[in-house]
Amino acid sequence: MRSRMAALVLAAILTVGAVPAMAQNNAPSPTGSNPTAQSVTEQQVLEQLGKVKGRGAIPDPKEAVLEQPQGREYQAFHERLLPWIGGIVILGMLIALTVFYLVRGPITLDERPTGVRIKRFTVVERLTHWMTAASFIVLAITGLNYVFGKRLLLPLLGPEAFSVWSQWAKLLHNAFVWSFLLGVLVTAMLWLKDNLPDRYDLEWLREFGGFFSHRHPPARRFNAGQKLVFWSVVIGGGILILSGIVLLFPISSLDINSLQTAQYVHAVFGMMMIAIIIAHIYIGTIGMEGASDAMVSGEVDLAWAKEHHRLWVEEEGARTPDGPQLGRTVPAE
Amino acid sequence: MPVIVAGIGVAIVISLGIGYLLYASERPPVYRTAAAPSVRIDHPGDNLVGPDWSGLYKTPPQASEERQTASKED
Repeated sequence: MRSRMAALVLAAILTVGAVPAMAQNNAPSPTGSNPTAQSVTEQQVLEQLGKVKGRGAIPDPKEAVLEQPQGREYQAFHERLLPWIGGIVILGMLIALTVFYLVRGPITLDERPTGVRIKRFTVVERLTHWMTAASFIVLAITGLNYVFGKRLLLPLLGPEAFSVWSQWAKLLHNAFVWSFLLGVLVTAMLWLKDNLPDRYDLEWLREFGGFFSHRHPPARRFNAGQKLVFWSVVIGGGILILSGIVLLFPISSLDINSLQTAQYVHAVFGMMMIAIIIAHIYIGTIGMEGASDAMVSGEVDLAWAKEHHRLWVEEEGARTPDGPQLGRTVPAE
Repeated sequence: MPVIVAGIGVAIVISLGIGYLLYASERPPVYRTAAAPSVRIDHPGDNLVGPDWSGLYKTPPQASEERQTASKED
């Protein structure tokens, strides 16, 4: 009984003592502000960051967006996700090609060269190819600078030199889109007919071009691998050009949120295109014996043409836009 | 090889030609196109900081430095 009374008294003392302390916590500070209450308010504001939007009084609604939550997502994409995407896609392709080269080696001719040279590409085709290629290389290097420049070049060049380079890179990136655009359009017109899918493409893909089996699946003027590169350039390049021109004239047609979407598309397709063109450059140079002749001199050995494009030689008489060069040896189907 | 050089040359001529034309074609700057009647944001450098602004950012004194200065004066 005595101990129960002592407990009650102790509880009463603690309760009475706690009331002033609680009142003291809720009382305003001498400066008139309550730090605890302020921090709660800030937390509430922070929780609204995904929803808060701000618009200015500029008459054009496309320009009036002052603040929008998608900007944070875009920043996270550009600063964190995109370098990873680019690194994985481009380095992955380089590693895959290196492994392929080490395992398979260059694709050589099975037959000895005949010494008979036939035209593979006309002057107009090669001029268009090299104009598009030069434009793409400039666009790729200057485009990669947007993503990797400050991470890789800035520590090497220093801020002043990197700033000068980046300003020029930006101007070049904006300028070379026009020759790339012309190149893609002319390429599409020149080679569309020869790049339409046919029944031999599946066989070529199934055998992976015979790269490992050392067989040569039949192909017309372009095999399935070349057709994939063609459609990547036409479709992927077209998407890059459209999204790039939208970004080149900001706010003229889209608001900031749509421009960020265009930037997502432009950056991802740009990385994919760079990886595809790296593979194209590999197979056109060190990857396949005699392949570079087609675009450098415009002529290839007849043995090379028969091995890699048998149907082009036999059915189509090695036809180019200038017409067939050989008599058909097999009736066309 | 001449075709490669010619292709690169054509790319340079087209790109720099069109790029220069677009760059040179004067477009009104954003502070002019975005001006609203209720806000004066024309003539940058004049309206907010004055024409004599050197462009150097002056760091405001920290609160602790102000207190130290005040205690020294006391």
